[in-house]
Amino acid sequence: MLAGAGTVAFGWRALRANAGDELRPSAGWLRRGPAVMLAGTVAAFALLEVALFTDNFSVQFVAEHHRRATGTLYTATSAWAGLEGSLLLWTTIIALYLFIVSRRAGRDVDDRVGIGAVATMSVIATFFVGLVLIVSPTFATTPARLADGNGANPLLQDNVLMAIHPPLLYLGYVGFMVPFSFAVSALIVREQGPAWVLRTQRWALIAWTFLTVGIVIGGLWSYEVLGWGGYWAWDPVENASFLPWLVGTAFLHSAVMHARRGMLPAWSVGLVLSTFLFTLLGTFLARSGVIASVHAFSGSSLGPVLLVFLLVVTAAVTWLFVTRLNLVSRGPRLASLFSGEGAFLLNNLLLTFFAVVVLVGTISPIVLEAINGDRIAVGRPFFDVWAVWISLGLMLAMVIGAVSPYRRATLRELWTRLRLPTQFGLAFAAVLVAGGLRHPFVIIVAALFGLVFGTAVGELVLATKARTDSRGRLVAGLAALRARPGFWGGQLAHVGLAIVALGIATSSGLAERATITLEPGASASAAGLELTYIRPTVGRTSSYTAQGAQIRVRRGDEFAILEPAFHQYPNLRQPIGVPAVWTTSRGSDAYLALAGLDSSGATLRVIRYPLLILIWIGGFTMTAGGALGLLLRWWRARADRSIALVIDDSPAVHA
Amino acid sequence: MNTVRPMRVRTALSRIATIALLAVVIWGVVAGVMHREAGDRLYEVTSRIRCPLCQGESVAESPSASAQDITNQVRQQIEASWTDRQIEQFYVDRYGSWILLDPPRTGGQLLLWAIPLVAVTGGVIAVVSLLEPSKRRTRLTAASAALGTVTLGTMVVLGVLQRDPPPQAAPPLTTVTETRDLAEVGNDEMEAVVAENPTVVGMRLALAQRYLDAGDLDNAYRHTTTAIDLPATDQEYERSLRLHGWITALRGAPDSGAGYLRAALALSPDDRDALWYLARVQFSGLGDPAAARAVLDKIDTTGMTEAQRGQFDQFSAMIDDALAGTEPSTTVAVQP
Repeated sequence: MLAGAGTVAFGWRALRANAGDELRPSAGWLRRGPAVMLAGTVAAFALLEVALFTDNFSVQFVAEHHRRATGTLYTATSAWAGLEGSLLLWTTIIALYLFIVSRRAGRDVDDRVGIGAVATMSVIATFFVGLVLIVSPTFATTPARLADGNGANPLLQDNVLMAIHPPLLYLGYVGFMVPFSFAVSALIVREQGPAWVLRTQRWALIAWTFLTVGIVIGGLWSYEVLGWGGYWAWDPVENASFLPWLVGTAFLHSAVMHARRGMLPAWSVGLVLSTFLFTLLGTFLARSGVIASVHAFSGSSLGPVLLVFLLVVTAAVTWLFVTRLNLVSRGPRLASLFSGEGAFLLNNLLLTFFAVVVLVGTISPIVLEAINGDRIAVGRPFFDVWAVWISLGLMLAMVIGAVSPYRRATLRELWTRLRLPTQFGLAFAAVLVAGGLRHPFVIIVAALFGLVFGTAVGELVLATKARTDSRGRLVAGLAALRARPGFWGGQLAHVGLAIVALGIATSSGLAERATITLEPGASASAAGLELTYIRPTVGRTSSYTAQGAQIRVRRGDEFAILEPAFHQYPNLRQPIGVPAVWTTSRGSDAYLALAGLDSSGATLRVIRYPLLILIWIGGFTMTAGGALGLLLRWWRARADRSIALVIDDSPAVHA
Repeated sequence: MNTVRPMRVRTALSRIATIALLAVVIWGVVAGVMHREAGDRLYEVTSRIRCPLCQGESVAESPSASAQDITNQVRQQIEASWTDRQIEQFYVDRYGSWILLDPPRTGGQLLLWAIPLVAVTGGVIAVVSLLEPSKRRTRLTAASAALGTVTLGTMVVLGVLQRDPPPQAAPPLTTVTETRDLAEVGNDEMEAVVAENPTVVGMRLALAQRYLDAGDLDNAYRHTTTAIDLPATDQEYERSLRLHGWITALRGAPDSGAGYLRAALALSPDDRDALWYLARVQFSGLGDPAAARAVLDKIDTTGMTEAQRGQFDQFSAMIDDALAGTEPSTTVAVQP
């Protein structure tokens, strides 16, 4: 019955959804189509939640991904724990973006780019609605009368992080659809100039912020749940989320250059087009089962459809781009390699290069196997080699970009602005060297971190000084921030990235690892930690039974009781190892994972990661940078409006 | 006070400070590079080897039993002073180049390293070409093109040179000592050898086969159960599945046994032994002569010995009888 209702809702929605496709210059239609689509998808999603909460196992998705015993939170999040539900969530988010954009873009009948963008988004939305309706119907029923369902993959139920990781990522992925659609629309209606970039910068920033926090949370989850002792595995699906991030970040920067200086319009368009194509590629990789990964939903009939869509969109977009190249070719030339434009270009070059490396490394095993059946693996060593050098280059480009003026710039000018930050960075590294640090890479990253941090703070001090008057420093500082939202948001994000780099360097360069076996009651020291096996533990929750080992971990004069465990879920043969992490007050992570457990003792993998917490601090700082940029933009726009109001009002006062 | 001090003095002081700080940092980096400990070589080597039963994890990262076995093996190899290359080659020989997470810079995989290099060279040239035309631009373009070509050339030459690595005889592992005729070795002794080399699949299967021949299904089952979870080549894995499936069926679980046999056949569809076992299980265990017939028809009978041929024909006749609805006229030995 429920399935019937769902299908009716879908059919109704799909019928009306097509209204959005029509390029009819009627604002009413433009707005109603997306509204109906949003209402339909939200209703369908709500229905899915209802089906989950009412244990309606006649719906196949519920039977496969839900068990009666599951708690409230994870019942709700089960909706995106499987292929059909996550596709529905994805489609709902597309409808949400489409709806919001159409509220604004549909206002003016003469806004051909805006209407074209809404139409482009509608085409994409309709495709995905078609997917959830026809190819992998959410509410497919199962004839079997089941007393209980399978339950979702337990890995997705162990931690609240996993509950929010997918929606955040989706908000990021889908968000880049907005600038993409505007770019496509500008190409279609042959509009020249950076107007579409200015209109979509905010959307790109929103998407970037969500994508960033989504990726960071994914890493945090991987670290705390998966038990392999790391946060980033260069897994194909991780890479697939990283590619749009890299290209999208490049677009955020090239958009500034495009909007402000009219430079490299073709490049900006190319970047935003590829951002969305990479998003589709990621969808295909994750949902088609061509790769083995913790993320992959295998055995899905969706693969071929998505592949065809990806190829069609790629072909269409390429054709559009090539035939309209005259619209976007050539801006002004670059005056100097050390100018602001030069730094932006260097940043774009490095980010794109990074994307090429990740793409080649991700795709080539799949392509090679398809071509000649050779099975090769491309893993951490390959990616790490490139990532290290590219990151060092990126940090240099960041500081040059922060201080160098547009157009002409000389090395001498640069040095005048960078001298103090450089000394700060060197001093920071020198102090660490004096303190006994001897890891070459960590020293270099520490110096670069100091440079990036010093530059950002130095620039803020300078800008504040320049505006300081009778109203005091705080007001001046805030005014300086408000004057350049993108720049200051960017600076905070850059500092965040430098913190991440420092965290990666210290945690990987200075990590200590050991595997030890302890009898109950015994103590040992390993990886700079004192470990005592207190006792084995057994626990049971509604969804799993846990067997663990209570371990006292001592570092210096601090200690903590950790309990790494195996969780045995009824729907899995193998138990899942759940690690335990303790961050000491001095920032070292003690990471304990069980490798074996029986009556005679516990075998533990012990890793000490110095300052790994910096990765999360830095990642959230980057997110805060995106949010700060958005907040400052909003604040400036409000201030601009109130100024405009004052000016508008002034004649009345005099009249 | 600062403003009183002449500008030149301040600049000089600042410059000295910069140089001094830079010197300390460089000294730290150089000292670090020079005194870099051999490090945890075991970790470095195992982090380049893929855990064969996991999803894209390295042996160093994976907590699984097979990863720990490989770690132990690598530890022995390092103790036997194998070089990194020899260790990697050992695993490539067993599993194919898929086992290395770091694709070797040779052969077709050279392309993997070359594409990023070509891309970055092209990118640098593109950026430089955005400058206004000048002598400097020409020089920069030429320099970046030259740098890219030289790097790429070096890599290709090195890759080609490495293509067929000189066959270095790796020192033998202490535990691999199997040169005696297996027929002379008793089961207990063989158990000891298997316990000492828990990851060597072939030996374990041989032992399981002995138990099977002697009718000791429980002990045979114990070993095949372990064998199917061990890291193995496809061929070894197929043999494990085949034997395990047959033994499982003999121990009274024909359904599950047939499943293992089908898995073996998925890896090697023409495997005569697996087909024979499956046909037997279908017929006797599952009572499905039609399915048994279909399986039996896939068996390629060319090159069979006289005795095998006889068994085959007998079994075939038995299935036909069952299909025709008559009682079987004879019984057949279980072994192919």
